[in-house]
Amino acid sequence: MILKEYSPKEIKKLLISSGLSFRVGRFTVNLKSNISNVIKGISKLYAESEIISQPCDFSVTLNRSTGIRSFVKPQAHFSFNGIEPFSPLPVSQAFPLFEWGSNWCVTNHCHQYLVIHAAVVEKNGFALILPGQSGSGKSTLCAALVTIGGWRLLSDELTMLRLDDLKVVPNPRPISLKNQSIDIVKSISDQNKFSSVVKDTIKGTVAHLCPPKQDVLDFDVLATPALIVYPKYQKDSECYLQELSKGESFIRLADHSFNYSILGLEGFEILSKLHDKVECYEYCYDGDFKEALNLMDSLLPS
Amino acid sequence: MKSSNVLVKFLITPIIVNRWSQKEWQQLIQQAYVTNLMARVHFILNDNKLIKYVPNNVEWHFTSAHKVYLAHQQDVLNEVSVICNALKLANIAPVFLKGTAYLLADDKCNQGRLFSDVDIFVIKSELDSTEKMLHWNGWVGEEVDQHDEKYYRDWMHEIPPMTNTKTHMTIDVHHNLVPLVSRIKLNSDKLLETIETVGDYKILSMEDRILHSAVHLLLDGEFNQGFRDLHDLYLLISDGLSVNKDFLVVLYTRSQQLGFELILYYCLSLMSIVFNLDVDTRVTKEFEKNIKSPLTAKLVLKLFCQVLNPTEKLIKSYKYRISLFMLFIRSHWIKMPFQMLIPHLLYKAFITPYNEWKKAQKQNEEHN
Repeated sequence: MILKEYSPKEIKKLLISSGLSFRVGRFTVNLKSNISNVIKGISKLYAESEIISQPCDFSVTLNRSTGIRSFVKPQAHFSFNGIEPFSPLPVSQAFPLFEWGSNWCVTNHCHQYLVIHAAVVEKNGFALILPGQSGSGKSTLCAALVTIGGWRLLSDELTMLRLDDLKVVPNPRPISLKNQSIDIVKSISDQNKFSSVVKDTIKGTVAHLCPPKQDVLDFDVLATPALIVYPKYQKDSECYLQELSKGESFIRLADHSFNYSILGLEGFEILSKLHDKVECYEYCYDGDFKEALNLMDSLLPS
Repeated sequence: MKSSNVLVKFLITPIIVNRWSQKEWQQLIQQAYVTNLMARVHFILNDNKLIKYVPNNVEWHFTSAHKVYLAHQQDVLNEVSVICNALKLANIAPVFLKGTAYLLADDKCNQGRLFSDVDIFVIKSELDSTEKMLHWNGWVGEEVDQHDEKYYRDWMHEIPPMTNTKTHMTIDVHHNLVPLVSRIKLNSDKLLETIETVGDYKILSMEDRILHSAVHLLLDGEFNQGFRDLHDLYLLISDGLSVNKDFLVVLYTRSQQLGFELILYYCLSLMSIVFNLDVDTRVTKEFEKNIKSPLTAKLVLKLFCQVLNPTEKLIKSYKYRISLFMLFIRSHWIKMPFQMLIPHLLYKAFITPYNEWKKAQKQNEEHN
């Protein structure tokens, strides 16, 4: 059974009682919430998500403040098994908070993988890893590769490498877009696939794009890492692609990993083995998707 | 606390997992997260050869927590050696407390224990040089306002926490185990009489480690890691009993020397209520003779049972919040005399938020 087979009323009833158990990327989440825009966001962005009857990986709640704060500037509290890792946010930001909270669940607890702050997409079985800090344009480029480039979405935010065989483990979730990139990506994709736009968050204006239906279903189809491309978005600049030394990329990727130090020697060995297998590039682009897509295709191993 | 609580049941009789369905495992996972005991549960499963009963979809929670634990142990050991090197120059050999001491002593309760700060104890006359040496070696103190500065320096038993700028680990430097102005007082020289040495490092004696842990749990008025601490105490006492069956009598004698009998009474009562510990009748008889108001004691115990219950913490029930508030008041009542407490609480309730608001305004202005 999938989530869109439930009516909004049924979803609401579950969220405020025993919780709604559904698949979020490759993990399963039991969510309790009494906030209406969460219900709306979940219904839209997780429409194709499988409903789970088993116990879930993560139990989270997203509730409105109680007491006086429920009347004056109400806030949304994210809680993971009774632990509140973030300060509460205005209630209008509750759905983005669910997305950020879900990322936190993964980066803080899933040390069966090396978890890297990077978008990752797949074509012909090969994975293209796009590491980058906020503002590097990795999510925008990832959205373009997925919506018009024929690549499969593995994740727009967290690349997870399995420790024993270095396969990329997909975690297909809504793509998070910020500020100008929202309109740019809207111009190349179906407008109905977007969550409502939320303004004035800590990351600026944010919106989420639905992952493609087939990619959601393929969460267990692994990919072999082949390319690491460090994107750098620069408006009106000269585009260039530059090969990056393995050593330089190793250090950058360790820096982009959430649990490199927790994995210790294991982490070091994974990154070494990964760099024996992949080619590394730095890519400066001006936002011209057509050129970017052609270039990424040309880098794929034949 | 026992009936509805899978974590407590498991800690008392680990073998029960052989009859568990997915539902109980799910509850265990939730309670292990909220109490920060995931890695310890993993140890106990392993020690009792029970890993084979863990469902596949659940196992990663334990193995991941174990990895965090291993990395954490290494970090703390490195930090211990950095601290000692920094203080060696001033000829100070600190006594390690709490989690770091359990690690150095290889106590059972170190297994799967995660903690955020390293705690050390130095005698008061060495406090100044300790602070200076740490400062020169890259530790920075937390920024505190004038009120907090006075609060720490003149009233409390520790100085404001300092952070190692290289490793980002925090150190709490103590010169006593209870606040100087507290109703329960301790002559900290007495701790030095029984100090133990492991390798190159100093730690409190077993009895003092237990009493300190109990003081921390029962007087601090904060219960973020409360259930974890309660189980630490259970393991420490079990360690003691496995070496000496009269250990509780020894512990009681020590509590008398330090003036911590009442704290030990609450501690052992909780051990018996929560973990079914058999308390030596010689010790219970002593308690019965000395407890002045059994009714109050009973009420306080009830409050502790509420706030230390992992299930209550998960749902944050009304009863849980009331109990938490009452124990907060109690701990402050014990911590400082009335004429200090009221101005302190008023300051914390009104002036501190006002100052923070003003600071935020100022930052906003600078930002724009």
